[in-house]
Amino acid sequence: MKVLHCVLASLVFALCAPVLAGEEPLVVRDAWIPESPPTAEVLAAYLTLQNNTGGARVLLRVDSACCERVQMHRTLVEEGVARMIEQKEVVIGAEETVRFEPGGLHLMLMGVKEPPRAGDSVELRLHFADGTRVPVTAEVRKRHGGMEHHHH
Amino acid sequence: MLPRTPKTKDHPSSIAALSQTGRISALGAVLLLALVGSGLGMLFMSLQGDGQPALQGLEATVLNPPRPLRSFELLDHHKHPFNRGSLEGKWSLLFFGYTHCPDICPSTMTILHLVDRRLSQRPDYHQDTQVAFVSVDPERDSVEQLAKYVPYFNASFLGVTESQPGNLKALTRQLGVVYERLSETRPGIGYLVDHSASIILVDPQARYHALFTAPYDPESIARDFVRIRKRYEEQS
Repeated sequence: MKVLHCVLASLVFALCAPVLAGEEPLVVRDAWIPESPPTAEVLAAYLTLQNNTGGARVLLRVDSACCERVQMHRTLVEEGVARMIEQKEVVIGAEETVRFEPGGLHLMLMGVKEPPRAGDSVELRLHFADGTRVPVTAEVRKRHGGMEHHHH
Repeated sequence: MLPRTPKTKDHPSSIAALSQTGRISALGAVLLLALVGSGLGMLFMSLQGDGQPALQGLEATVLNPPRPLRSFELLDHHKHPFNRGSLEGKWSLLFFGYTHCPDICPSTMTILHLVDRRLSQRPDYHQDTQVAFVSVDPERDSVEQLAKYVPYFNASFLGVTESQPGNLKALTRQLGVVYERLSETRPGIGYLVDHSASIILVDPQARYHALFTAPYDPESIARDFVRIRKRYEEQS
């Protein structure tokens, strides 16, 4: 009987392990804003959304005190022409990771009050269709910091 | 009993299995094919613009032959004329965009900066190279606006805009560059502009010589640029 209890306990423990290990249902990481020229009234913001749940999460809108409004866009280059298509919502499917990155999905921060410099932080709030709101801190970084290749 | 004819041990399709006559015929056929093949090859190459075989393994698309540009009149952010004469005697990398573009334009300007940095390690290819950001949004991108935007990415880059309506098209049409201002106006951003996302290479004879398309890699752009230049010098 004792052995059975142990086995059962282990099983339950194993099943709960992901939660116990602190895995969040939705992880937002690597939120960053490339530093832009002083003329910038519009900034792009990028981040990664990891959905660890079995159901889709739908990002509806984003707001921030830094600027008048935030829209979600996707850059598309078709037949050599670059366009930005507004996204009314972004779906992060079950167990899916969606990346907002240069040349693809991005948050468009519009009517920026003061262009931030590298090292600053900008607070964003993500609003999901299920009513949840997730605060995110985006780091302002130099655009090409760390991306340079070494000379061969 | 009849004498048995000797059988070849090898597979009938092998050359060694053929009789001597057979081998000579096979060789002859191969030679003939090679001659015809190279003849056709040479004919094909001679049909190309300048009769030179194309450079292999480039990411860039090289025009064959390069397309001479006709005159145009624009203005750079130092308030100097930027025209066909500005392209002569040097190599130019041109990118068409607008300062209110939040994603692809700043990314490309950064890429061009990295290309410039890479080329600076090869002074012979760097000193006669210029990079120009040509605005497809002359209404908002004044000389003053460009003077604040372009040097942020690289102090040696030029910002170019039109001073007279219609002058921009005189250049973009020749390069196959398209742009379209979208009619939606949003508070805080105004309008967006769809535009060609190519980096265009112009040679010292003011000819449209090659183009690079997205996605960009500064290493391969610099590498292709050097190779294209070497070929150009060989042919001069």
